[in-house]
Amino acid sequence: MSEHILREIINQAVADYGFRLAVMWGADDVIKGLDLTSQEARTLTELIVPELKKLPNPVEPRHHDATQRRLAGLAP
Amino acid sequence: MPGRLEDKVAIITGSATGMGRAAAVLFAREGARVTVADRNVPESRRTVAMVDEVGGDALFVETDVSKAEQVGNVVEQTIRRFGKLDVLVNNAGVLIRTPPLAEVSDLAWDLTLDTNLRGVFLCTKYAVPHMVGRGGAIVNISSGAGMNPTTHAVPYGVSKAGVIQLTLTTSAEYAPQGVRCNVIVPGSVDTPQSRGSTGSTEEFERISSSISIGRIGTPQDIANLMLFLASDESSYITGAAFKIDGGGRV
Repeated sequence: MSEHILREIINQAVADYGFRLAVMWGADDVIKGLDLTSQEARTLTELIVPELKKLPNPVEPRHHDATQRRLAGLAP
Repeated sequence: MPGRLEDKVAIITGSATGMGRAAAVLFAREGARVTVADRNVPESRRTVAMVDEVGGDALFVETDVSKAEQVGNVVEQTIRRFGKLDVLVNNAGVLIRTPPLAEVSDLAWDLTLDTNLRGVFLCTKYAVPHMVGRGGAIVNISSGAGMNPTTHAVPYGVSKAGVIQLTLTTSAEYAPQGVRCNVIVPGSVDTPQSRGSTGSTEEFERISSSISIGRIGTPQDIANLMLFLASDESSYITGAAFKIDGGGRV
């Protein structure tokens, strides 16, 4: 398991609306599928998901990097 | 004048937005009582409000179609509230973009197949017993991606192909007992999922302008066909696939 798993989730969720939907409305499945620790699971559900719900659809490609960097701050 | 779905009761999965929402409102306009089944609570409540605005009666049940317990619950609550079940629209779906097949993650595969195919299986499994003998109509939503090679969305294409097969099997097994099952195969439709999955507004507009008929499909276009297949007007139609794509891309 990558130590940057939450950042990988963020990066994919920013770039891919379908994956973002899966994370926003099915976080438990993502947690189970990626075997996240309880700490990672809490960070995902309590910090990352609420921010994902605020993103526009789509996040335009020119905004991917900045958005991913901003959200990466939630997943130290 | 009675509506085309007068006195019918319908469950529509994935009806928080897009095609499912359009169907919920249209079905209600045509006299059906509707259960909105979706994971997206705020948008589902908005769909219920839209049904209310057209004078309809809608029930919202938070539902993840990939979970048997939740599917059983939405069917049970629908029966408890409305007394019966006549129509099931299996519309819930997710499109996760993927790299080429050898690099597709197990997670992307599971998330997609669980919602798009297992969800249709479970909803059908729990709905059919309430339709057998007294009649019912099931409308499944596939995709052009289920009939053509699909790059960058392998699990999605496979899941949508599976929905077509599930439709044929459901029809063959239950038509003699009064349950019809048909599948809609949409091309590009202007939904939040479609806008999101193309990756950029520029790409979405390029796709929209490349459709033979001169415009992208609307959720209403698909809902109109759902209505026909849900109604008694299609009483001799079962096990059929209906492509609706504006003539495809040119």
